[in-house]
Amino acid sequence: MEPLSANLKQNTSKIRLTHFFAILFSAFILCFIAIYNSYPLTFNNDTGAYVEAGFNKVVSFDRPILYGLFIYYSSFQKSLWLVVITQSLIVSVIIYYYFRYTVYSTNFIPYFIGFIVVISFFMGGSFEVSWLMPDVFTPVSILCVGLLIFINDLKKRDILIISLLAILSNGVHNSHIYICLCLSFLFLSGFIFKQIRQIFNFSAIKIKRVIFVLLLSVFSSLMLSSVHYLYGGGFSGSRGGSVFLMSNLVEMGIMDTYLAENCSQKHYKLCAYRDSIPNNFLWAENSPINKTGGWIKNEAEYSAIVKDILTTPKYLATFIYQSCIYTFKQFFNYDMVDIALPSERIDRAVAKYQKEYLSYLHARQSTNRMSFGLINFIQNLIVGLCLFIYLLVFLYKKMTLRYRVLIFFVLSGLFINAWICSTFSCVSPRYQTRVIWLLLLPLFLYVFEYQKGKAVMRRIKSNLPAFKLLNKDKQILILKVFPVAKRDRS
Amino acid sequence: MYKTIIVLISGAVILCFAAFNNKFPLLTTDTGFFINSAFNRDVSIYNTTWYGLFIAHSSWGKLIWLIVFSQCLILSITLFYAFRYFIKERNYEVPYLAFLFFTTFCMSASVTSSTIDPGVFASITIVSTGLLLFVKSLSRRDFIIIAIIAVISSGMALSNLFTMILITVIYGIRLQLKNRYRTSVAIQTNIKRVLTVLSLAGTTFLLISAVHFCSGGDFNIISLVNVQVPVKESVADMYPNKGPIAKAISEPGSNPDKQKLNYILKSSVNVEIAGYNRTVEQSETFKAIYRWYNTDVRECLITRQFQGWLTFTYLNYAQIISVLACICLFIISVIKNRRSNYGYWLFFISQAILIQILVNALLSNQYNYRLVSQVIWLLPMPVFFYLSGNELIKKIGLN
Repeated sequence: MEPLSANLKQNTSKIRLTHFFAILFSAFILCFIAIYNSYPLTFNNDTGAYVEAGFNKVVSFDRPILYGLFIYYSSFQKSLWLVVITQSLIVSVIIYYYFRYTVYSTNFIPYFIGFIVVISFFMGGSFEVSWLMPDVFTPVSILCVGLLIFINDLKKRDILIISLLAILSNGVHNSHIYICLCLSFLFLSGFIFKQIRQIFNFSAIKIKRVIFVLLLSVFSSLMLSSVHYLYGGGFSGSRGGSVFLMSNLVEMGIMDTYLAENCSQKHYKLCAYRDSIPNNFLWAENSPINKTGGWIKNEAEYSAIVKDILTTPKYLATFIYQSCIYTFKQFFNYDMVDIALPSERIDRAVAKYQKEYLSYLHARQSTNRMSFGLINFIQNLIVGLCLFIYLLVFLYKKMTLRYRVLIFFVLSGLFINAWICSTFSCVSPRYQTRVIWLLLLPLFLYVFEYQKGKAVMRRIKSNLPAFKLLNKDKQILILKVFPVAKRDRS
Repeated sequence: MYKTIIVLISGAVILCFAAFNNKFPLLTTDTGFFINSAFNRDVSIYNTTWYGLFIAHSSWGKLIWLIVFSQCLILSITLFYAFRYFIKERNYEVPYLAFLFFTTFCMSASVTSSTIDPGVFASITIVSTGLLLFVKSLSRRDFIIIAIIAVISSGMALSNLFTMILITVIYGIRLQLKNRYRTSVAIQTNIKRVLTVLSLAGTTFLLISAVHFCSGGDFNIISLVNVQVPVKESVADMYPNKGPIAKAISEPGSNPDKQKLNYILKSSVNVEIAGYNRTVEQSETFKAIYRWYNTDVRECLITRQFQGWLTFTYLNYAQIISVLACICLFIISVIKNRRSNYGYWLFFISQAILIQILVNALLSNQYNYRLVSQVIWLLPMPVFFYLSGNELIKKIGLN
């Protein structure tokens, strides 16, 4: 017995080691764009604002502090490369969990790495990881929700890791909590209908776990509020919500109509500027928001305007119509285009990492040598292919029910992300680039399971007498786990 | 039924991809003219007024996105019928969707149908004419729908109407000449169908003339053909980096006949998607949007096209590769099997495309940079007809 147990132990530790190195290798591949750029990518003023928030420990009026703190602590105030490495490890681990728990096999590593290679070299995966922005946590957030909802047999240790990652990722950006809440409400509402309940039963989705995700989102919000409170920003989670929505109402053209029709009765400060409101309402220097005292001073007035618009049927109808159009616009806007020369604010922020300032200055982005034309085009093709396949899957009820629900989950995540960002902030390619690569995940998982099923079937066929010797439960288990084998057998 | 509706709407949404990606419908230098004609009810001196009417009605007077969606839906329906009637397999939706996705992401279908320009109706005319001419067993409902689509689309531009007539006449003549010894070919017409299409073309002609006349124009719309269109954009302006060649063909002093021939030749061979230059605030198009779709102006200001970020470099490569691949595939298929139906389909589509391009080029006296790209994406259609017979695709459709 002893040699057998030792052999088993040796095999297990060998597998664990392989998986560990696979995660490290995937994390390395995910850093591809940062390596190509010779430095982590930065965005507009935002990266600077996050670094400043982390170092100064000041809660900004327009964004949560958590990502700033994440940069501060994960970089050890030494190198921004460490932030990218941490991000890539997180993404790598979460995707690893999907392969580990969704497909019942240990030899998924080539598929896992294959998936990482495709999203890194041909989609926005590596771009997101290499960016010093909280955007990489949007897919992490969605993936965590997916794991907690779909996977029944998660180890306690893994549940803890996933929950912690979910809390962190929900807290780093205003939109993440809402995305998670919407996803959990969507699945929770499914339990009301008998037909959907049956589908959930077949896919092993339990109401308990959906409620757990919901509570996790609420907890994330509370935790974020507490962190803000701790740093003197008041007990409030999301920041600047009504101001962001206000800006979008300007862009949608609703604000012009509203002010034209209401300024005679309601004397808002904004009325004085109604003929000169710039399109870039939030950030333009000549914007009324800057002329009338900034975000905090105007928040009350803007909240009142937003409330009035959303409760007046005439404007609400236009808002709903525009929201639908904006969601589609956002859904199909996923190019990597926001790579401009870093601003002065970023220069100042990166200067805090003195030792790497020179390599930052020599980076491709800083010298304007970054172009994503080809990757964007290939990404277009992949997205088109995925959408085509998924449309066929739903039309002809292909794949197993479990995979159809998983695809539905991913598509819902993408649509909810597009809806929230486009309706409450603006249509920006950045918002969809961060999640678009998730589209490919169910396809990879299915292809692996399909191949695995085929291999099992071949083995069953070659050892038919041995298969028949197994007891009925084991036979059923094998056929249940590998639907391809079941179909082939029938 | 629900499945069909889902397929049609999904097709239309996918065709809107270029507009969604641009954050606004794509605009051309002519868009302003069409929008103005929609609401001013001005009679054009060099085009039919139908597209203006289409803009006014499909947008309900205020929702600019509905114009593009309506175009895409009409195109989606027409292509759906083409696949439904020309493919013998039960699972025609699979190659139909495959074709839509392919032409959206690798060719100019989406760009053309997402543009506020009557260009998309050229391909709709070709396909609907093909349906009316060659389908043996059109149901009454489908016949009515396709006939309405054919009338609307052919009325959008005189070139579409002439294309429709020319295709029908050519196949009518072929029918008379080859009827005796080509009976087994699936793609064939009969005299009844030829006469039906010709009468539809006649109806369109009368309708356009009547609308033109009612709007205060001349009843004789043929006179539009002879009008010299003012050249808005010279080739040299469009291609500033092309240097002497572009300059030579747009030189005012050069021989007008030679210049026109140059335009025709250049327009007829340019497969690339072009002519989507940056919209500027002083342009007629922007002014028209400001005037008639005022609530959408802010949206227009942040589009990729307005910001000058709209490029089709890789899409153009893909389009050229696709066209070449189609040609190669069919040369092979013709060599291998001379009487293949798909070969005849290719022949019909390429003939129709050629007629459309030539008619358009002859009617226009300026360089038309979208002439080929707006119809060339129809070329792979027979490939997808052919692929429908593939075992894998057959399997997908079976539940």
